[in-house]
Amino acid sequence: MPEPERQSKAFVRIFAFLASYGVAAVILTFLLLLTFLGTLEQVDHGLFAVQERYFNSLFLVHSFFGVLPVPLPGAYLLLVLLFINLVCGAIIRASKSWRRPGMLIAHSGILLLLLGSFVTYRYSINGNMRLYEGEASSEFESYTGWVLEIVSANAPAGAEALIIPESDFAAMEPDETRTFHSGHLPFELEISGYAKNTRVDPVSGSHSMIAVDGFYLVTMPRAPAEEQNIAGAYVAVVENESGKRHEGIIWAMETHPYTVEIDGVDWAFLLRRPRWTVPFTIVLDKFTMETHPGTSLPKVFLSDVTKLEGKSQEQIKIEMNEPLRYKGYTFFQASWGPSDARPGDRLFSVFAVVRNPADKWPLYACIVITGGLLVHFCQKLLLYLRREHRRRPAS
Amino acid sequence: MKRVQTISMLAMTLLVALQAPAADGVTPGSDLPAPVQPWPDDVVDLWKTLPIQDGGRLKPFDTFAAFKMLKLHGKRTMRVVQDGATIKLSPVEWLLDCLFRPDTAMTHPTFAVDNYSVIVAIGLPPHKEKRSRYSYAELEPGIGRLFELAKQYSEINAPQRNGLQTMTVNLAANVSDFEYLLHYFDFARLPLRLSAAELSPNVDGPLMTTDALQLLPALRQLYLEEQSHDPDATGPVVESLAQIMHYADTSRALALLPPPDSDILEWRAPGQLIRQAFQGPLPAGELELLQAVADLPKTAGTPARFKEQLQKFHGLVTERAEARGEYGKIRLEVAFYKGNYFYYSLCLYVLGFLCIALSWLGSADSRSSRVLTGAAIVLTALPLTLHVTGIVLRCIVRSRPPVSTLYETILFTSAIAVFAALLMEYMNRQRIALALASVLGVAGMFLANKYEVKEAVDTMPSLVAVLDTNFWLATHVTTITIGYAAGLLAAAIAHVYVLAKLFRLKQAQPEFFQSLTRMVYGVLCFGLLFSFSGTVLGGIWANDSWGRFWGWDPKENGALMLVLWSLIILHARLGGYIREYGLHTFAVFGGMIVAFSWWGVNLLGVGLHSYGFTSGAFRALVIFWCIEGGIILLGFVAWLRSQSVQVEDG
Repeated sequence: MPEPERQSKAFVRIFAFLASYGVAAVILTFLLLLTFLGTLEQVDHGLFAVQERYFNSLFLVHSFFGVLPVPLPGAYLLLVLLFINLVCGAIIRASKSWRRPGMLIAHSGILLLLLGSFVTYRYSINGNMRLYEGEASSEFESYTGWVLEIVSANAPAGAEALIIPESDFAAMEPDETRTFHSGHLPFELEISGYAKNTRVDPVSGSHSMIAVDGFYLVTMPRAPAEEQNIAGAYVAVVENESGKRHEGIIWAMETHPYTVEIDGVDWAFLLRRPRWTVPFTIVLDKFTMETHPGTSLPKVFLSDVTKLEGKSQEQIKIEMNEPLRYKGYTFFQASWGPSDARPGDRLFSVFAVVRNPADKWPLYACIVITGGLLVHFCQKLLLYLRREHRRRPAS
Repeated sequence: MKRVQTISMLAMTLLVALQAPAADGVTPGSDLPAPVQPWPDDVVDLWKTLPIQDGGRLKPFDTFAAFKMLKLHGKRTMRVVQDGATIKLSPVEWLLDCLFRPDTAMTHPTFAVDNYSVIVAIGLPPHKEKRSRYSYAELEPGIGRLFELAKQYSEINAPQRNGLQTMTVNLAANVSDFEYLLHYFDFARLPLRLSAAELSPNVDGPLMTTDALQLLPALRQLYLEEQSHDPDATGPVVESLAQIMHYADTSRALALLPPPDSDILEWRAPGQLIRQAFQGPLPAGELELLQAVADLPKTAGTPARFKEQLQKFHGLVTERAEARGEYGKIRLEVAFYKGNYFYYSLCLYVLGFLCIALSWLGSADSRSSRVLTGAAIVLTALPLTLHVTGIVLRCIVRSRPPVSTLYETILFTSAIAVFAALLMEYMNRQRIALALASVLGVAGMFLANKYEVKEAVDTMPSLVAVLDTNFWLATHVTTITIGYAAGLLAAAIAHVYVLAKLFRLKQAQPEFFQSLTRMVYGVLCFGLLFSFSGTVLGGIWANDSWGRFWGWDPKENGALMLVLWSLIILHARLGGYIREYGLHTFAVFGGMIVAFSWWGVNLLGVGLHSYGFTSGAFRALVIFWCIEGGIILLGFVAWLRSQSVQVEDG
């Protein structure tokens, strides 16, 4: 057999395999299994950890009944494979026959949905903005993750604030030290002992931990709810010229950051959530929380806000199921506080803020898919009715 | 104003010092049980339509009484044996006894106790039956111990409590609820220590709380005089003030009094008005309402006067409620519960199934069979009409789409399943879908009733803020619930296939099985359309309320599992990996997934959909899954047998 022909046959076989119903059924079965396992696992491990492990992963090992480890494909990989299967089977192969237009439409909608979830996963950002009544802000911060910020009020130009993302130090081994330096900084920064969930305890008696000023960092098990984890690390600031070493602890809940003075300049080191800026300002004018009369059951959460942009301003109400969408950002009414507020106390409102380029894609996909399914199943129903009609006189 | 506040503060302090508990014998009792006397029908009817604010909404007194009795008694009818005869009490009659004849109510078998171990634990002799009902009078000697144990057990997290601990905590809560009902009218029934003449020379007789509220300046004067003689004195004035505060505390179980100001949404119990009187003089309208409600127990002994007084109070309340635009649905709700639609539809569905089962005994063409089939159609369509009427009335009463609570999903799912089955019967006339329609109707109504009795809370509750959107309730919730109905219907049809194959029924009629397969396939397609669009709509709603389309929340995952399973079945069938047996056993498994998605995920106790939580359903679910697992195994056995027969034939 000539080489090109053989290659073409191999391609056809691979294409037929990728486009097959069998592959679709297998992928969907694994997805079902993962969804089931991921749901049960949330009871013990919380949503965030499960999401990372089962749904945002390529592979994982699930321990059945706690004793039987079984490797499984992650939902990320499965959705990519499903996408390929859909393109090959439901679009390229099926488009050769227009007998089932509904299916072609519905599968196109599923492709759009999968694409939307990919765009959301890769390109969306989400966090929250907390405002007391009367406060204004253009910044929102992430629910999870940390950055190490090096900041100084009186630093030389270009070195006012430097950010080290968590990805640069999160994966360190417990005994590893990583050094960071910048041409703008008169020192090197060594980070060690970083842990996702920590607390700072005073040193009591003899112990083998590193201690700084009578305190040391205790590593704790990761909390199931990711936002409850409080990161911490040891840092050492080594002056470039003198080689002098300053050691300290940075802890995310610290109210006063760790500071070092070098040549008359104060440098502060702090762990904080990543932040983003929106191109307008939100002012919280008033927050209203109503309960159903005579109960503590929440009835209405409502934030009266003013949106400021340049010289224009607009009064807007943000409440449950009624978010503010503007310039690609969406502000949702998420929560409020203080929880122990008494009548007349100043309240704060928390908005979940999301920037998602694929925000509306699921809606479009839903319309396309439902339309496709309707066309297809109506076609099927008519066939069925015709068959039943033929069957009845005969019987 | 300031002077009255001083009295209020002093009275509070004294109340704490005196520590008068709720069940402190303030109600006169007697050693002999008071006889049960029937309440006149017209009085009961008036009470039924009296509005009351409870759980954040206005509801008829009838509904309040029914769910209160269900919670405490486990049923909505109470049987009281008196002089060898059994008297049946309706919830309103029972509640009226609690409020106006506390001595009689104390002897009613109010408390359902599932296991007598609780009774033994509080040091009382139990009834012979393990599950029985006890009166307050029977429990009274052990109530101190009951509250002591309940306090101890309530420090344990609810999921960690064992059966005895849970029952003890529940019984204590029920007894406490009951005591608040018994003592609700203490403020109007029991005189204060002071006599009226001591406060005002123009008034005579015993001094009641409502009288004292109008004479607060004089009461203050007396208080100051008493204190000037002896600052530590606990004479009649101090005692009377403590009594008033005590009654304010015991009279707060029923919010019967609408506020005059339409901006104030919260209705008040007399106890709240009593406290309010210490903040400043009550407006005339408030005082009139308080006096009208306080006059009720005084006339309870004379039916004619009681009715007259009740009419006056009812008129005052309804007039104000109407002016506030809150009375509109009260009579409709009373009519809804009086109609008992779901109970009657259960009975008729059962009859419908009996007819269809009897019709199977004869040949399909026989006259008797045709008559029975016709009767079965009527006896399935008629209860479905009642079933749907009940749902529609609930929608009108609540001004909501049909599904917004877990209870309503049962009503709606079963109605859709019955309707779809009847539609299929119309299309293929095989009498299979007809039988399934009545079976699903019976199952749905039975489950709805069990759920209502077990939860024993108002099935028309106020909704939390996130659910307060009729658009999404009408689209996402309704659509996904139709998806559940389709999944269950497909599973039900598949049961017929598996069992018929297993017991070698209809062997000579291959078209019977082909028809079942077509039905299952059709229903699965129908279900996929709804469960898929319902799931995506749920995501779009979540995107509007929580800021993300998909969050792998258990409830979302449950819906996704149903969609995935339907897709697996359809693709596996298209690929030729499963045929008839496979389709049906897979459809049975689909029913198990519906159960997980609908009920199972609520039991996990995690996620954002916690408003759908129900407890204690785990056992029932496991039993369901085991039975369904057994059906799948039987389907496999039948398939293996068919394969071996084919080999032999070959």
